[in-house]
Amino acid sequence: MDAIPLPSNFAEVERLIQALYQPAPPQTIAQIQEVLQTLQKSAGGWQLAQSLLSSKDENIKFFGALTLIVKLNTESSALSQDDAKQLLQSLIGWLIQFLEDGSSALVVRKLCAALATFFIHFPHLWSRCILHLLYCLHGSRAIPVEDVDEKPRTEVIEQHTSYELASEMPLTRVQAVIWFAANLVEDVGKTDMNSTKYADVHRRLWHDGQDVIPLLAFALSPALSRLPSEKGKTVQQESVACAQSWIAYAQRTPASANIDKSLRSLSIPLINCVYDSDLYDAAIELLIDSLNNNSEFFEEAQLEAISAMLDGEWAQKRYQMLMQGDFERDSVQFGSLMLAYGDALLTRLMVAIDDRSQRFWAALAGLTSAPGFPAGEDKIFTPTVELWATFVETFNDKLVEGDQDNDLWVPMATGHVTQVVSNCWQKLQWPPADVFDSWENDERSAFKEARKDVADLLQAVYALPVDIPLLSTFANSFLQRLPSCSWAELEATAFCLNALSISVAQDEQHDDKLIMVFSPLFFNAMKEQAGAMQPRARQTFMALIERYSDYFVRHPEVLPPALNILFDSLSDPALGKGSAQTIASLCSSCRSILTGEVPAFIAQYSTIYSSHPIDSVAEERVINGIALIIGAIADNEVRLGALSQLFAFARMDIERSVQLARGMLPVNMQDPLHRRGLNIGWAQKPPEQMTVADIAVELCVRGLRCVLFMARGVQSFDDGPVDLDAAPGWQGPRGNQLPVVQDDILSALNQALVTFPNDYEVIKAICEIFKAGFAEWEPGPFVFPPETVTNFFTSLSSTTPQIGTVLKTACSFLSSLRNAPEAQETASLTRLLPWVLTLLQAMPDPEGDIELSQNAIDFVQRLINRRPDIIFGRQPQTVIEFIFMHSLRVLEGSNPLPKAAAADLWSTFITLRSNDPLARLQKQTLSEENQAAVWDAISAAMEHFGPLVSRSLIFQVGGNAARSEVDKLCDPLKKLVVNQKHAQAWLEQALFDDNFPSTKVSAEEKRAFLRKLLNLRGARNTNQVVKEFWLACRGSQFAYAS
Amino acid sequence: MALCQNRLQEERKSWRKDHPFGFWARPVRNAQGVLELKQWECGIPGKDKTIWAGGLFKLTMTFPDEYPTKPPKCKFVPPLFHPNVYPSGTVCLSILNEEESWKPSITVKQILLGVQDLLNDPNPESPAQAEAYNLFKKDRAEYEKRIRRLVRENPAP
Repeated sequence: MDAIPLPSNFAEVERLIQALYQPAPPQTIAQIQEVLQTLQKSAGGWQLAQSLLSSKDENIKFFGALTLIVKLNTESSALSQDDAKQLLQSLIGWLIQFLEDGSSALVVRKLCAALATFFIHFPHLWSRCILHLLYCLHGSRAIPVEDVDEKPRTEVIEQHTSYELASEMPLTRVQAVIWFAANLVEDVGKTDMNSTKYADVHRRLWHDGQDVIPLLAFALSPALSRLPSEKGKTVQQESVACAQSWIAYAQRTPASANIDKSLRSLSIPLINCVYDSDLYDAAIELLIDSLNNNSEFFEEAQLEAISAMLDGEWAQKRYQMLMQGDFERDSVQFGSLMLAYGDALLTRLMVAIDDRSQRFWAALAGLTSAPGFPAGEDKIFTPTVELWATFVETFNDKLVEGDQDNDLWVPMATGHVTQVVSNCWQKLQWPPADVFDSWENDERSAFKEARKDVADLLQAVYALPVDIPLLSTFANSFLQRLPSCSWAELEATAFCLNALSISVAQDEQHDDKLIMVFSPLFFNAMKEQAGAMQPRARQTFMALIERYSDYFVRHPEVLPPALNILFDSLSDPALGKGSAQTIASLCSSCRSILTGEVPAFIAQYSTIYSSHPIDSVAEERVINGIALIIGAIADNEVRLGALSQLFAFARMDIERSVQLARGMLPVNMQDPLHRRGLNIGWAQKPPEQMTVADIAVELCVRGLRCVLFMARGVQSFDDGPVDLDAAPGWQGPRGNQLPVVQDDILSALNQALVTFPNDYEVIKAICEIFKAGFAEWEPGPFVFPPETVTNFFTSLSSTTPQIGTVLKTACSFLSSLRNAPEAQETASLTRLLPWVLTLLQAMPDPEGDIELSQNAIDFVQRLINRRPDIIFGRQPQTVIEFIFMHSLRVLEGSNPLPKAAAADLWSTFITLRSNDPLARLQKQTLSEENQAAVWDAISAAMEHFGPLVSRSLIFQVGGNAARSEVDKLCDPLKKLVVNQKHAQAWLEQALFDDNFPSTKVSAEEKRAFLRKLLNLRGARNTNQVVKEFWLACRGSQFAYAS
Repeated sequence: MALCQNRLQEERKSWRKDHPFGFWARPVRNAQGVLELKQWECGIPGKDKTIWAGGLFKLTMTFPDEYPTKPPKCKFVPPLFHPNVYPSGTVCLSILNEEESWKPSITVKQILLGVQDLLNDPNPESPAQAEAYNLFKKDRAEYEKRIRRLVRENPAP
């Protein structure tokens, strides 16, 4: 389509505008719009607007007003004062003309909007704008602004209030001024009150707009509502909305007290509008909004009027409609008004014992029992529960404060809360499944949210120091209802019990009530009636077992039936994950009690394993649970035997995956053991697209992750005291069986590694398995000798996927060696260091792989901190040179993570002498003579690198670093000042280096900075001084940047 | 201190009135059932139509005494695999940084929505953990696989 040429005459412009409002393809409309916008923006735009407004065509007039708004918003600064005054006169002139010639409301409204835009840009040229506009419309001519506002007023104009002027005018004109007044406050309200550009308009708005009050007082007066025409109603509705805009604006204005006072004079007429069915919607909206956001707006008289209204016959009818299930907007708004009033006056009304207040609270409690399911049907339930949550919290605060001078209100409040709880229990019951399924997604989520709100309310009620026997009521009710099999009710009761668990479960004094919950009847129902039970009910009952796992620790006699139920439902798609979670948490809480059950659990797992693959996340949790119990078996042989049995399943997965990958086994999707490799729902591809290779690797990962969760599970109890002097895990008695089990595990890991050397998840899982043993203090199947772990690491190279992740594990390993015999530590570290350095050297760019870079530097840092002799006593000078030069490059680099690691490395190195890690070493590891040689090498390195690291650090804080990095860089800088005698010379040299990054600081400023730095001797406020220097180097425009 | 408490009451009220779908946020209750206003527990759902969809991630918000002059500290519990989450779980986001874009007018709702946006739209300029950052930059397929696992381990109810 060809581009539309710019019109050459006015007629063409008119045609284009008319075309704009005709149906056309979006592309055409966009092109027309573009041309018209070009015209609007052109210098002739002002003139064009005026010509357009003179047209007879409504669309063209509308576009003319729009053009003026665009011009005012973009080019008002180009207008002289006189031009602007003239423009105002013209605008008012057109308004009068349009009102007289019967132009459409659309055009008149747009012109009113243009007038409001004029005020925003020229507030000083239009004082008392509303009154002025009324005078003009009253006299049907545009009079000068000065005639209205100058005091004493000229004789030309008789003094009238806006009330009087409005009462003498045709209603259409009054309506236009109300449109203007609403536009005025809404548009001014959209501008930024804090910007200097609009400060004046906000300052003047109230003075110049004050006449809106008498104007609205007229529009809301009964005289107008008695008019027979529809117009009167419309004007009144618009007046209510206009009043709301002014009240909302006043509320946002800091000095709103005066404005409030004037607006308040409108409040009684506004309240009375609620009774008028035509004005109900606008007026009730205003009341709700004001009560919610600005309840101080109302004084006693108005509050009394609202209270009387809510207690009257009219309100009775409204309330009844709501309680009969009328959830149309009008009806719900009435409920919202009750809630807004209750919320605004909560503290006062809560302690009021007069009949009216009590009737009010009883009605609000009743609102939680309207018919229908919350959210989708009953629209008032959720907001009502919110109000009661606030009520209960305030109630609690009052009781805690001991504010019970007149405590007659306490039993009354307690009674209302009890009623609310009882109603809520009814309301949170699930609908039948088909009803729930028929709801929209939003309704379903909102229903669940409503239940959560109730749970929250129950927790708050439980905390109240008054007698509301929640626990015994629910527990009793649960027991009584079980034989009835009314699942929805039982589910609701269990849900309430779950909500209380956080406060109840741990405390044995409640066991006399909980025994009614976990009765034989319950376990029997779970076992025998599983099929008849609603799945949701079953889910909640399972959660009950999980939430109260502390109870099961105190009552082990009920554990086996509970766990049996959970295992039984593992393969249920809807319940499996929840059951697995519950199994894991019960096993964790009760591991010591359950050791005798291990064979039974393994048997159950075996059935699941071979019959139907369950969700892999659920499986990991179950494995973890069983392993936790195995870890608690006291007898070594029995423990290892059980673990071997459990491990056998994972080994089968791994072996099968290797066979599949090598083509030694054809894949068979009918075989549940092969389907374990599908990982339905979360593998990279849908099952039908998965190749044998995909299935093989997924199966291997699944097996490895099961091993991982075993490793984490069998870790020794972490709640006992740790004996720091105890021998590390691999040194304890290993017995005959342990090496066999370990070999078994290692061989499986090795198979996986050899078969899938390029799979990240495989590598990651193996790393995590090793890591699980690092923290162990006792010998165990996953506590491998350092040599084995070292072999694993050094077998990997820079081609291994995400080798940086492996390095991170190596860092943990290094730290775990702290209690190893020094000879073993030396052997491992001496092998690992070259491996780490080879990986670093293989990376061309120090920031090419930040994880590798960060963890390699971290490794070296830990090594220097622990065994500097490995570097400074056993490595050639070139290696030392490589390590430190690399860390300097990283320190000067742009990535914050390796940079932070490098800063730590330097901090450690700079303070090495004072920490003296060598002193801890035994003589056979490092003789005195060798120790001296190591120190010599360290000192020489410090002498050599001191000036270089000083230069890097100073260049960084001299503006090269990002702001967020400065704190981290302060660490080595502070250490340098405290620990190195040459620091002053090194830093000075760096500050005055020719290549210092900033030219914004003078030599004197640099010297002052250095003086402060040295004087602070590493104290904490060094960071502040450094930040100021950094800022100065960057220049002030960076104050809020980076 | 009073300012902090008042503001938190306000935040609580406005959250109750209006909060985005699938999110939750509330002050924790201690064992006595009493609310601790300066410690909130929140749940952030993964955004629809992203790989995070279907997950719900728990986060704690700790408000300092100087709140709202200073921002709350947001921490995923347990720590989350994400380029802009520190290994401790703390979220690195400019609106949560006093020296960057924090403003006292920022609400709890805005923070949580901001963190939700961050999930699927990490900021590669501020890496906070190397592993997630590296995978995100170098092996997007593996990164997404990892996220899918996370989502399954933390399903929305």
